[in-house]
Amino acid sequence: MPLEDIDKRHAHLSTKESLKPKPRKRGIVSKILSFLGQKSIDGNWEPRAPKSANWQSERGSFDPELPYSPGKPQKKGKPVANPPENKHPSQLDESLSLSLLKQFPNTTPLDRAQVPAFMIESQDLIEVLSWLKCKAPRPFSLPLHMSAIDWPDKQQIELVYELRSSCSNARVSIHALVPRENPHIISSASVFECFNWHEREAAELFGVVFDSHPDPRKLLLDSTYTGFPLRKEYEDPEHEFIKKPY
Amino acid sequence: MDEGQTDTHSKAQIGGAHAPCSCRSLHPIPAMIMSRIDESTQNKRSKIHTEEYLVNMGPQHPSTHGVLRLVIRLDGETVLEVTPHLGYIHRSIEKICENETYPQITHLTDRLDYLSAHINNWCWIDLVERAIGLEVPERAQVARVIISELQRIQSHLLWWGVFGMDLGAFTPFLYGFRDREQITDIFEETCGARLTMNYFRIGGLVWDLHENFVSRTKKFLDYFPQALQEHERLLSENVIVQERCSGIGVLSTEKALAYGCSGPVLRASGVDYDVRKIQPYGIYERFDFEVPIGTKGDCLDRYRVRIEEMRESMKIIRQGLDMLAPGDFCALTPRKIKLPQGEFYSLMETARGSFGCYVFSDGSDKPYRAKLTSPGFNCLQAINEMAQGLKIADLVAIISTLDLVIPDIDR
Amino acid sequence: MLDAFIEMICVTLGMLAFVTVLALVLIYAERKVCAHFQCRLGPMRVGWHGFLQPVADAIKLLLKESPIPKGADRLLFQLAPFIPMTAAFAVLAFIPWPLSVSMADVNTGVLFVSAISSIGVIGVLLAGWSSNNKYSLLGGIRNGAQIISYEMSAALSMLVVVLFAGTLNLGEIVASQEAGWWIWRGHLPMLVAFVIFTISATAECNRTPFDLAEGESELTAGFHTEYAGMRFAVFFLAEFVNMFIFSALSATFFFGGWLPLSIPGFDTFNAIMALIPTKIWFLGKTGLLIFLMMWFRWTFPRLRIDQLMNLEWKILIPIGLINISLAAIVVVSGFYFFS
Repeated sequence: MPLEDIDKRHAHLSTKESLKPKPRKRGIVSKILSFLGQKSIDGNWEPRAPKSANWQSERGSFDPELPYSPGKPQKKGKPVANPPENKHPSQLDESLSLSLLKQFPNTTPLDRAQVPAFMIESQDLIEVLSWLKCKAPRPFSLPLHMSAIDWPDKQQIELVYELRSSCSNARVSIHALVPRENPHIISSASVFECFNWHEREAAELFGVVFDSHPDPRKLLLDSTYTGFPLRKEYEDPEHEFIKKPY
Repeated sequence: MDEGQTDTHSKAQIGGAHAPCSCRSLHPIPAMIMSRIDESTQNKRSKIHTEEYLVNMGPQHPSTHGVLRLVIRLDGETVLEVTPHLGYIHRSIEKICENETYPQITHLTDRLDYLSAHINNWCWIDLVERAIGLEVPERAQVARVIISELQRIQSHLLWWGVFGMDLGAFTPFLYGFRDREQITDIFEETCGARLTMNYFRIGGLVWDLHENFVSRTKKFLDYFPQALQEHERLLSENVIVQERCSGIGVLSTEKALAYGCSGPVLRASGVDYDVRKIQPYGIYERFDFEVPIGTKGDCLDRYRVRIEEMRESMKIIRQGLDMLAPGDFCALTPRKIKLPQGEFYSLMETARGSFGCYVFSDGSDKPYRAKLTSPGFNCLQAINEMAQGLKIADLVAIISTLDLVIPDIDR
Repeated sequence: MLDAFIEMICVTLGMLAFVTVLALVLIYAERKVCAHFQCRLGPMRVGWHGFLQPVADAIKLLLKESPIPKGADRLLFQLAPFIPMTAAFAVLAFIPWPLSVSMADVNTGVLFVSAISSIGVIGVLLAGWSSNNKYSLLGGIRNGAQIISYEMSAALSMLVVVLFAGTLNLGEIVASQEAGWWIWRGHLPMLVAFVIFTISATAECNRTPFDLAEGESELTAGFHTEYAGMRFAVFFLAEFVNMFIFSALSATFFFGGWLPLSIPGFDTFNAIMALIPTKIWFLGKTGLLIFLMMWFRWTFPRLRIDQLMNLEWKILIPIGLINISLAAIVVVSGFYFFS
């Protein structure tokens, strides 16, 4: 099964609340028997691990519509011997770049990174992230983190959203710039719940305001804390020696 | 303590069993959570007026694995909402990184997740090495893999012991530590320290492996499989453990992906994602090992994934010991390490999940911005998802199987 | 009249002394047993192999401050520890000591034992409520539910013994085992009753796997979170005396109390067994059962409250009821050894 289809399935699942497993109910006799020392209740559990060199293409047995099917042991295979995929992606993924630029013309590819990186307009953020999650040639369904970089000389704060694919080593890094004086950007917690807390952290450490964030409280700092510690001009009044060079 | 309109309940303070909520009526519980709360509680909710109350599993608690504060909204024994409050051990490591040189930051990274200290160190060092194009000698590479896998076993042993303790069986804690002690002794002899080892340097190792390293590791590998078997008989085959963990704290695949979980949590939810396989670093592609994957995403699956991971780590160590050959233990590194301008990344699989480092360098010998991704940060976000509708005892089991190390989350 | 009164005082003092020594021995045993299960040594410094450790613990507890939390209900807080202690000590009066001596020989011993031991739950509930602490409240309520539930199955298993022995009098139950201990004489129903009684006894004593009331990893000591010093020592003492009581009752019901192992017809064997003094038999049996309870504690994890209630109401009580019917059939038909 091609990689793209698997990722697409993953991505489409995330919009629904569908596949929640019901807790197991066991009858009284099995409970007595298990109480009397039957060894393992769930004897069907086996570790399910891809073991062959072609594990990426043999994913046909995995059906994400039924993620809780009992694990079928896969056949043994040889270790993966330097497949081209498994090295760090050090050049831009051409198809991703082309399709992203086609979809969102305001995007600029950045060539300064080890992973594909793109600079987007801050108002396009939700659309770009949703597109990457669902409709990209290789959907990126597993978020990594979101961070920010402070550029006091450019009077901007750069937000970096890192995404990765859940079954390949594809990664992408989305950058958005917000002005330092009025750092507002729409919250991406609706697209990836992961970014909820990352945005709270960026908000308290950099001062970025995420509009329509579901829970805009401070995360790591005390609620009475003032100032934005990770901004470059921040000086902790009590610890002057932080600024001294070593 | 916190502001924000969602936090009106925090006024019910610790120990104030009689302090009422500011809003008297029962809060509407979303349908999703209602389906999880079992029938009896639902009926009770509709017929008898019960009051919800807040319990603070405070920063000091036997089972919050560090300084984590959980404010739990309860209805009797049923958890309605869990809100983690972080920041009790926030040490602003990312800010400190902006004022330290690259070799100095290595010593900070292992203070994050001290149970995967070596792997954290290696992640940072890997970033620097790939950025400056440094070639690490073969012996150092193999030693790094062996030591990382020993670290993984050590971390999982501690987790296993604490898991037993959280469930109420105190003996696994001591068995886990007894076995872990053997690895710690190996580390003490070779690396010089027992917790934050700092044995890896940019370019290789700080000094060569001790002459007893191989023999002690082999002795451990001879002893451990049988010990692991006994440990499994004690806990995994125990009916009480299975009753308390099976079907509890289910994290579905799409939720695990949405929350960005990684490591055993993600693998137990059915996603085959292990950085060592997907994006091998070091010389991992030369090793033959499997990645255990769960099917149901409940506590028992997370438990079993970690136990199996210990076995796989033993396999890797055996292969590594065969590959170990005499040679240089460190490459020649420049005196002052300056990364070229640009962004650099590295991602590794610690015992907890994907630990990542991201550096934006401006060409000097200190990073302009260093970001350290912690695996537990994303996993802890999912706790509300996993624990709603369950009992307090289940919440404790869930936190335990998430294998959180709070300094890693708070950075 | 006066003699009886003085005798009562002396017996009480003697029993209190016994209980003190018992508590010290049990605390030491618990720590050593725990240590050896965990592959370590335990107390080794205070006295030879640490045997004076409980004395050191007692001194520490005596000297410790026992504060009353602000907002706690003072009277109930101070009263609460003494209720389980009283209940436990009261039951000691009924246990048949070697050679048919018991402090109170009543014809309805089993009933009394069952009734008085259930008074202890009041103390726990009071402790949980009066501490003004949500954790304590949770622990107290859980414990209340647990204890009153498990008394049912304890009673059901005691009834099996009563059916076989034909009397509620504890001394006569022991006497009825002269032809052999009930545990092997009453085959299947008695074995099932023993298992149920052991489980219920472990639950009544708040020992793991039923120790959610003081579930350390969840509730930081549960109902006795706010108790320190001497008040905590009283709870602790009550728990150990309870353990002793239930083991002694178990020995009385199933293992012949103070009677040596005797099989009718094997006279030489019986004579040899009778050489061992009855006190050793009694304390040995009780000790082994206490060791069994300690073994459970250091092996098993804890049950969740709903699983615990499930176990009791949906598993143990039905089995107990079926067992009683079976026992009744066995008794009426005389289908047991040496009837």
